[in-house]
Amino acid sequence: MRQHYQSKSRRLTRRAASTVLAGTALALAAGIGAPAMAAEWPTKAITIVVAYPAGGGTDISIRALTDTLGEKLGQPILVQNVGGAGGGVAATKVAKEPADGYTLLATNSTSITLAPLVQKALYDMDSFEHVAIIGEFQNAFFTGSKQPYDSLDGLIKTVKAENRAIKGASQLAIDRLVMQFIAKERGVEFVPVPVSGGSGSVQAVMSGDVDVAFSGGSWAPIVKAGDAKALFAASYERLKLAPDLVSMKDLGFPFGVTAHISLHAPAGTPPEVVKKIAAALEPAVNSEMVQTVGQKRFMDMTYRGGDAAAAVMKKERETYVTLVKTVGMN
Amino acid sequence: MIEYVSIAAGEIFTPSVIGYIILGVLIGYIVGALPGMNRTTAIALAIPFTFTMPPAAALSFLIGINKGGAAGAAVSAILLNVPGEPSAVVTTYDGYPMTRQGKARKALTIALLASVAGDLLATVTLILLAQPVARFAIGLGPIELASILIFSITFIAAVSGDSFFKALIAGILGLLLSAPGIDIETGLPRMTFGMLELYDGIPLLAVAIGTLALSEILVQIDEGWHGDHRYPQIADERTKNADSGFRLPDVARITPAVLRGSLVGTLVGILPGLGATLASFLAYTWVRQSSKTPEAFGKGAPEGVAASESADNATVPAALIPVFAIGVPGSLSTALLMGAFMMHGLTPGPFLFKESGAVVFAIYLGMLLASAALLLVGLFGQRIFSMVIQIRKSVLLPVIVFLCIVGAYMEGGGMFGVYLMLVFGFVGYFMKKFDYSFVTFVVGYVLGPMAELTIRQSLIISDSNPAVLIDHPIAVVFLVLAALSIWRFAIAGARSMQIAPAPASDGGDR
Amino acid sequence: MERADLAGGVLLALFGILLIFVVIPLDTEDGVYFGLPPEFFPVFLSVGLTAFAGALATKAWLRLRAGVALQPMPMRLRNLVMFVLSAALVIAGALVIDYFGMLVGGPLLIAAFMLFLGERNAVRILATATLPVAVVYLLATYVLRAPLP
Repeated sequence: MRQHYQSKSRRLTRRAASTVLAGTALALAAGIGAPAMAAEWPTKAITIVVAYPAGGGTDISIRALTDTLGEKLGQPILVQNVGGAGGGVAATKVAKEPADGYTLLATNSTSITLAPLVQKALYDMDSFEHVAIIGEFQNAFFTGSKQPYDSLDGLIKTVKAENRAIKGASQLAIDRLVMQFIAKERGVEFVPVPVSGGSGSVQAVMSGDVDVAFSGGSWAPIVKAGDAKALFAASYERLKLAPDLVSMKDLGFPFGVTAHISLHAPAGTPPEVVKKIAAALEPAVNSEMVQTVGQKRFMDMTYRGGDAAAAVMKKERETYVTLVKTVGMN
Repeated sequence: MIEYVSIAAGEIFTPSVIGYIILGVLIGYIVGALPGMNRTTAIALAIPFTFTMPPAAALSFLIGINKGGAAGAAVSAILLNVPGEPSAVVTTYDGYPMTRQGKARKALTIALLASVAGDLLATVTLILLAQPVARFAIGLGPIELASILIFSITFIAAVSGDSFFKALIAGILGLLLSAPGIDIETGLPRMTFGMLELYDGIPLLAVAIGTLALSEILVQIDEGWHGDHRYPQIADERTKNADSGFRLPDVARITPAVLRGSLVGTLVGILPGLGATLASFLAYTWVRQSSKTPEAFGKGAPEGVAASESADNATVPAALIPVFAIGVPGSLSTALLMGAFMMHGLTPGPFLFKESGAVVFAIYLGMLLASAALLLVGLFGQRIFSMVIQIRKSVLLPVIVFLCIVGAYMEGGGMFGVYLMLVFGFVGYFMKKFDYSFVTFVVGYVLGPMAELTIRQSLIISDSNPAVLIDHPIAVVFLVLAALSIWRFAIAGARSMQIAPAPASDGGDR
Repeated sequence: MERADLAGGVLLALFGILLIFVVIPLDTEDGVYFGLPPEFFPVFLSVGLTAFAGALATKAWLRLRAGVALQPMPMRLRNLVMFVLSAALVIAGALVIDYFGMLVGGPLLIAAFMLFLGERNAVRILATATLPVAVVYLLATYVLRAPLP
C-alpha cells in the first residue's frame, strides 16, 4: 500500500466521499437485488422447524432427507425441534417468520387442517404456503392381542355387554374426534386415556390397560410381532400399506381421516422459492434413506409437490370441517 | 450362531470402526462435561454423519455418544459443582466436597470406574436378558409406573436430611413446575398466561441449565472470588494429602455401592419414562440409608459418587432393552436411537434378531467396545480435565456463562429458553444460599410431568376404583413402600419441630 | 438464618395462598375430564407448599423467641451486591445476544464478565472472548447444522 502524505483534511474528505459512493452503490444494489434474490436463493442455511420432539416419525423422516436436500439446494439444512400443542407452537412460530424461504415448517398436516377448527389457534390454512407433502401416516386403531374382540363390532359388543365406556388411548385431537364420532354413531360412551406419543399408545395397549389405541404407524411392528391386533384403519379408503385392513368406508361411516407429513413456508414466500424447495424435495423424499425409514416406520413416503400438495391439504380440511360439525365439537 | 459372532467380530474389529466408537465416546464425554450441552441433542446432531457408515459402526458410534455423555457429566459435577446434566446432580453431593479436600483425581477415578462398571453390567444384561426382561417391563402400565413414582418421590423426600421443611418446599416447587402447559385430559391450556411457548410445559432443559449451572456460577462469583471465607477456594495446590490417590482398598470400599447402583440403574432404565436422574437419586439414597456412616454422605463419601455414577450410566444400555426386544423407546434419546436403527435398515423389535442377527451381534460387540473406550477416554480425559480447575475463574466462569446461554438456546427452543434459564438461575442461586435443598427441587421438576401423567392415567383406567389394585400386585408393593416412607417423614417432621439448639456443626459464626 | 427462614416461610406461604386463590383459577379452564380436574394437582401442591412454609416460619419464629443459638446468616450485603451486578451483566449479555446475534453478543458478554471478575490482561480477554464463540459458531453451523442465536 502506497503511503499518501496528504493533509488530514483532504484525507477526511476523501474518506467521506468514498463512504457516500459505497453507500449509494449498496443502496442501488439492494434495490435492484431484491427480485434478483429469488434467483440466487438460497444464499445461507435453511432451517426446518419440526413440530415434534426429536425421534418421532416426522422428525426422523426430515432428518433422513436433510443430506440430499442440502445437496440439491447447495446450502446446509438445520433442523430445529419445537414441540408443543400437537404442533401448534411450531406452526404459530413459523407463520410469523419472514417469508424468505429460510424457515420452513415440517409437521403433521392435521395440526393445520384440524387443530384450528377445534381449539384456539393463532394461525390457519392461509398462514402458510403448502410446499409439499412428504408422506402419509397410516392411521389405524389397534388393541392388545389378548383382548376378546378383533373388530370394531366386537369391541362395541363387548363394551355394551359389560355396560361401560370404551377406554381409548388418545394422543391428539384427531383420534379423540374420530372415536367420539364412532362412539356417538354406535351408541356407546368413549373415555380418552391421555398418552404421550405413538410409543405411549403402544405401551398402553401392551399393558392391557386400554380397550383400543390410535397410532399413525407405530402399531404395525407390534401387530406384525403378534403382540397386538389391528382393528380398523382410520382412513376412508383402505391404507396403502395395509390393504387388508378394513377402513371407515367398509364399516359404513361416511368419512375417515387422513394425516400427512407436510412441509410449509410462511404465507407470502415468493412462488419461485417455493417451487425450488419443492423441486429439491422430490429426489430427497425418493432417496433410499428416506424410503427405508418409511418402510421401517410404516409410513407411506410418497412425494406430492406444489398444487398436488395444496389439493391434499384442502381435501383434508374439508373432511375435518364436516366431521367436526357432525360431532359438534365446536 | 457362532458364524454370527465371527462375522460380527470381523465387522467391528477394524481400525476405522474402532476409531468411530472411540470418537463417539469421546464426543459424548466432552458434551456431557460441558454444562449447557445435552447428550440427546448431540445424538440428534450426529445422526446425519452416520449415513455413510455401515450400520453396526453407526449405531455403536451413536450409542457410544450416549454412554460417554452419561459419564462425562460427572467431570464438571465433581470439579466445578456444575453438573453436566441433571443425573449428575447427586454426584456433586460428594464429588465436589472431595475436590475441595484435594481429592479431585480420586473422585474422578471413582466416578469413571463406577460409570464403566454400571455400563458394562447393564450392557451384559442387555445382551443376555433382553427378551424376557423387556416383556416384563412392557407389561407394566400406568398404574405400576404411578406407584413407582409416588414411592420414589416420598422415598427421596423422606431422607433428605438437614432442613426438613425447606427440602419439602423445594420439592413441591419443583413439582409445581410441571403444572403450566396443555392439560393432558381437557386439551386446554393450564397456567400458560397466554404464552405460547409454555404450551408444551416449561422447557425443562432450560430450567436444568439455569438451576444447575448458572446458579452455581453465580454462587461461585459472589463467594469464591472476592474472598468470602464461607467457601474456601478450590484446593488445587494442596497435593500432599495421603488420601488423594486411588488405591486398591478403595475398590473394596466402593464395590457394594457400585453393585447397588448398577442394579437400580438397570431396573430404572428399563422402565419407560423414568430416566437416569431418578436412578442416580434412588441409588444414592439407598446406599446412604444402608451405610454404616450415613453422616459421611454429602461431605465427600466415595460411595456416594460411586452409587450415583454407576446408576446413571447403567440406565443407558438398560434403556435400550425395550428398544431391542420390542421396539418401544422409553425416552427421547432412545427414540432417536430407534430412528437411527431404522434409518440404517434395522427394525427394532422382536424380529430384529431374525432379520439382522449378524448386525445385532456386531452392535453388541460395538457396545462392549464402547465400554472399554469409555475407560480409556475417561482416564485420558481426567488428566486434561483436572487441569480445568487450575484455570483461573476469571476465564472459566464467563465462558461457562456463555455456554449456558448457547446451550439453553439450542435445547429449549430459542431466546425464550434463555430468559427462562436466567430466571431459574437466579432462583437456584437463592435456593442454594438459603439452603433449600435444590436437589429435591431437581427431583421435583424431573419427575413431576411423568408423575402427574401416570397418576391421572391410572385414575381414568381404573375409574378411580381402588379395587383395580388387586390385579396389579407390583403397584401395591410400591404403594406400601411409599406409605412407609411417609411414616418416616412424619417422624422426621415431628423431630424437626424441636426448638432445641442445632448441633454446633459449622464451628461458630463466620 | 432463622430470620431468613422466617421471612422465607412467610413469603412462600403467601405465595402458596396466592397460587390457590388467584393464579391457578386465573388461567385454568375447566374442560371435559374423566380422571382429575386440571386444578387438582396445582392446588394440592400449593396447599402443601403453604402448609410447609407455614411450618418453617413457625419453627423459625419459635427459635428466635426462645433465644437459642442461631444459625449464621448465609448472605451479607456484599453478596447481594455481587449477585445483583452479576445478574444484571448476564441479563444484559443475553439481551445483546438476542438483538445483535451471538457473534456480537458472545464476545461482549465474555469480555464484560472477565473485566467484572477482575481480569485485566488484554490478551487473555481478547482470546477468551473470541475463541469459544468462534468455535461454537463454526461447530454449530458447518458441522452440526444447528441454529444459533
